Amino acid sequence: LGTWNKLYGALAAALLLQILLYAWVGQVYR
Amino acid sequence: MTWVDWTVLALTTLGIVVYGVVVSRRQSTQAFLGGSAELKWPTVGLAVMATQASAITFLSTPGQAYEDGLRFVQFYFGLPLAMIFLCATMVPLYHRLRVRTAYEYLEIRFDQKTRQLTAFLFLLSRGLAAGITLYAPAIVLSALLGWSLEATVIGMGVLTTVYTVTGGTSVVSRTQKHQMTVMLVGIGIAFFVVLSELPEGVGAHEAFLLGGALGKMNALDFSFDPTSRYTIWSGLTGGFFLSLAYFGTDQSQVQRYLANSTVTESRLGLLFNGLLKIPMQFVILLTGVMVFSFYLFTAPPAFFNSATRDAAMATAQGPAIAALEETHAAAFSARRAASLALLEAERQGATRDATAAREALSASHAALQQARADVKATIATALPGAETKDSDYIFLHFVMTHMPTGLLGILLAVILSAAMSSTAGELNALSSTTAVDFWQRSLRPSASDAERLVATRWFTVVWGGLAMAFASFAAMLDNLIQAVNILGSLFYGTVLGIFMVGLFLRRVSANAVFAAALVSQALVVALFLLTDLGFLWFNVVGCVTVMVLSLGLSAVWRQSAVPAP
Repeated sequence: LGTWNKLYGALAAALLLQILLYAWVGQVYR
Repeated sequence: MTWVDWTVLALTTLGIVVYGVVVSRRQSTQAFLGGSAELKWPTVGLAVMATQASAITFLSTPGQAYEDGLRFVQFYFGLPLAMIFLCATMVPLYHRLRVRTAYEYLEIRFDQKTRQLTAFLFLLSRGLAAGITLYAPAIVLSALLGWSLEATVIGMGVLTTVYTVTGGTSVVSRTQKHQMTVMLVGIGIAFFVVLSELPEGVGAHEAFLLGGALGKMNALDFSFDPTSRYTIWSGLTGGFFLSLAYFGTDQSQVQRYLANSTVTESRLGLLFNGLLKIPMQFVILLTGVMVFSFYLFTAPPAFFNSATRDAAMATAQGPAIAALEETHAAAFSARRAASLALLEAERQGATRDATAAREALSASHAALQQARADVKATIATALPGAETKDSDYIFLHFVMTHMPTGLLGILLAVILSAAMSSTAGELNALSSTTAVDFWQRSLRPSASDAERLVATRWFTVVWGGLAMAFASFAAMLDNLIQAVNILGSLFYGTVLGIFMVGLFLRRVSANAVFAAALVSQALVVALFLLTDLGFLWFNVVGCVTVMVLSLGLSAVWRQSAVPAP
């Protein structure tokens, strides 16, 4: 994998982690 | 406002303008026009963010969370994916072709009419939007600070035009870097100040608990309702297409990462934007939820735009509004008691008490909301045609009444920085597009860089004047803002479709894409007029229609073409 593809993958992973975080926040505070 | 606030506000706002003018005195023609390679990715990334962050972002977003909770964050879910797509496709292409505007690419790929039609759509929608960028914060600031609306518009407009004219593309990016830094620091300060203003014994956890009990903490909506504005699906797909159109084809953004940088710096800047954008919006929304929780303990006004409320009180409806405000105050007391009861029950782990308190909280909140709706309806009766949506005033009302001295100045500096940075990006892009895609292309093909610089400066003055004129005019026509915002979002899908055909459908000819674009635009307008489809979907429909139709037309036209004898 090239450096750019690794960076793209990291950004997509960061998005997924954030969505999971927001799902968790929604579960804790409801 | 104390003198400390005024000093902070003046130093940050004027300081950035003076910096811009000073820097412009020792820069090259190339940097002014965007042809150097001097900007590094932090400047590119912050400038991209500053262009998108208008004052209304900071005024509206906390109010949106106050009313509707965190779900607006889903709107940005497609943005990082669009950044990845752009970095992989359009960024290297634009750099390789050495285009100065995104529309120049369309002539290389198709023809002059496709280029100028798209550039014209940009000038039309972005030119009107630049007026709104000035007008929207001016109306809020003038209502709350007692400044004259015209003076606020002209003050911000003239300051911005001055350094955009003197400094051009490079200075706009450099000043945006500082303005965005002010904004990010301001957001952080606002978050902690709201936290510190919560009553004794109520911290972030308690604020979120109470907000959550009233449905404000749920960010994700997995429903498949196509008319629902923000769901995770519309955010990921519609948000992806909208971000792609905005960052990939709107010159006000393309210029920010294309001009004065290399492919590597452009890419890193865009990825930086993709990484920071959602957390930034989330923190702003979370601040809005905390403001909501703050007003569970401190009585909020029944209507946040006090200028409109006072005007309505002076009419025959005054007593009716006063009576409704009493009802609102009573509901507030009940809601405050229920909030305290819920926190106490949660602290003691008393599940049954907590359930009862939650029910009391919901009921009293519903009563308060009803009183608020009644106040709005009565104000509408008292002042026909007055704006009764007050969510844009919620955060600024909080800031004005509860922000400590000095910090108020910083928050106002954030709002002015946001207004000026997005206006500067818009004026810069409008003038370059006018100069490159129309003036030089059709009138002065042999113009030198020095001549183009002079022309661009004059076009900046003209667009700055038009934006200010339009902003003053908008004051008379409230519905105009709605119309302009809708206008912009209606063109995006089609414009994106044209670019996508250019990038991926090699066999499609210029005439096919031109015809497909006209049909697609008519379809989007029809959908807007005849259906309730959520607006994010227009971007998907417009883009896909152009692609499919131009492919079909190309195939048909190729087959029906009579071969020459």
